[in-house]
Amino acid sequence: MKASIPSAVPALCARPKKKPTGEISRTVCKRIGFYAAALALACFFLFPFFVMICMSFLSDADVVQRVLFSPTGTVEIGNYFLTPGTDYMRYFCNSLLVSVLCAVGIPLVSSLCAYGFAKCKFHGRDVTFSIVLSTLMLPSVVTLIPLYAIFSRLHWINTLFPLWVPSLFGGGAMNIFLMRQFFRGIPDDIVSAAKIDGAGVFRIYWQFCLPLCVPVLLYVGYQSFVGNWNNFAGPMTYLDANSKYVTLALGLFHDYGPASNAYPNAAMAAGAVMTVPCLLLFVFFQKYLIEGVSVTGLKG
Amino acid sequence: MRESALPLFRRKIKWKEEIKGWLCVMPVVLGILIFTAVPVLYAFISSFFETELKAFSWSDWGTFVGLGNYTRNFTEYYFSSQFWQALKVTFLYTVINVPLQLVLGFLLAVLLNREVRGIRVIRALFYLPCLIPAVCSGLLWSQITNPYYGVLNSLLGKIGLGNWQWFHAAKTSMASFIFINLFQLGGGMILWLAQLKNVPKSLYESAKLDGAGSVRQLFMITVPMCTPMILYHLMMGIIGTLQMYDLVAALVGDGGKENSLLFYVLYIYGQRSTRFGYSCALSFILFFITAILSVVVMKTSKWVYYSEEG
Repeated sequence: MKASIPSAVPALCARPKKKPTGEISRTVCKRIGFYAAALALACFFLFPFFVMICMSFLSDADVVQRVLFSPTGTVEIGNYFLTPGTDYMRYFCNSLLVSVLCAVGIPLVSSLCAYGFAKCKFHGRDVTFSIVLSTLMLPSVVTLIPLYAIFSRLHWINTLFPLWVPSLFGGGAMNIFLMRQFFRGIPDDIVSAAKIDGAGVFRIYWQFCLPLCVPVLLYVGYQSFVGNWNNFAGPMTYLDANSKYVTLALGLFHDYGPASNAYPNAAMAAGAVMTVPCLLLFVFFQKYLIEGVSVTGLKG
Repeated sequence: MRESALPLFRRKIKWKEEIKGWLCVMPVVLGILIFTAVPVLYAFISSFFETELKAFSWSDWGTFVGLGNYTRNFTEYYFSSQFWQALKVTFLYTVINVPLQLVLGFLLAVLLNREVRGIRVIRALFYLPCLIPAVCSGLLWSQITNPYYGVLNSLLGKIGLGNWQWFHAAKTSMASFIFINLFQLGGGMILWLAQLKNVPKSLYESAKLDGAGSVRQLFMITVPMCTPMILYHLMMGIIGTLQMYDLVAALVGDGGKENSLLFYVLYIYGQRSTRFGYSCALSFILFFITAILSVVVMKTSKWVYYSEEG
């Protein structure tokens, strides 16, 4: 916590004390201007959120009147109970299952691979790593559609397997790259010292390197959860509309998407329900999110 | 490196290390083989056949059409009209949206790169719209911008800005789409903020002593020091926007009014179930475009400044 506060903060706070009065009023004006600009921009950025919440509490009669608040003052919380129903409970559980599996599995797998690329010496390591990195350039649609045919052969269509099994094989090139950058920061001397003490490669990884990179693990876990929670192209490709395993993103699309004529208040309530887990995780992981980003900062 | 100079028993230990190293990276090696190489190969072969989407089988590949799936983009009007429209839409969006997001995200980060009371809350507020899943975002915006019962038109009408058609007219669709993407600026802003923190404070101090104003400091110090991030944003922006899919799908479902929002991936998805071979050919074309653009960006990246410690 303390480390994240830049050292310049106390200097900045102390500065105005000695300034002449004209200077003080200038900084005050500047500060007020900043807050005004920030407030205006915040209003802009919060607009979609605001509309989503407002509309989700409108009743069916009010929602067609182009208003944000009910003219008669009714607050309809029924949307939140009506829309979910049994189907939405199921969608929610499917999404949650996939996202949790990925959020736990991807950090573990990608850190193991990254550890191999950063701290183990073997022939063909750098070539393999550049192949891994080059998959970043491959548009996902190139593999997504042919994989349908392959999964269909394996009878994986309309199951949840296509959504989480592939991501446990490596966990994504970007995550491996990120973790590798982190592992490279751990001095080799320490690793070889552990080796001399008799620790094997996997033991060094598990007991020594992994605990050091908890912030990055959390960051990757968070990203994996959110990414899979929001994943739409995958379920859209591998799941039929009436499948037992429809996820929240796909369910929302089928029930309230462009092809449906459901009331928007119900759609917004379902959307709000889908947004809540991401929101909670963001509030909880905000610190690690920022930290993880600063680690990503393109080095190497 | 100097293995041949080592005694034999040392080489044996290396052999063990070799296996352990490969074991560590085994998941990603298998993953790339099974879930990338095999489908890519399969798609490549399929792109020479005319077939519908079905389970993989060794014997049945469909009708061999040679390069037909590639050339029909130029020869058959039914396909070429949509293909070029999809390319046009995707390129237009990429050309406008990537620089726009780059510049505005940067300016936003510069604005918020200060230590005042409540700055963390302000940053979080700006980031919030990025937390709305793309599908929800699409549904939400299609409701907000609905010309007949949407909230936005009624709000704009109150301040006398007239009635807009948004996504219900071909002319305004792309502009509206770029507009709603402005709400995603917070994501880029967070990356920029991390980069701005890495710019050494001493540079600004010495510039201030030399009498450089804040605008001059911005262009002479901040921008050059941030060039690696600009390159990263460019690359990721191009790769990402070429693959735009879920937001458009949830927003308009198909290509929008008169295919004004027919993004390339949306077109691929439209073709996949009836013309699987053709959609494979289309995705390979996308792959080549992505690769060429990335190489061009990387090759012309001499303007990027890497500091010594980086």
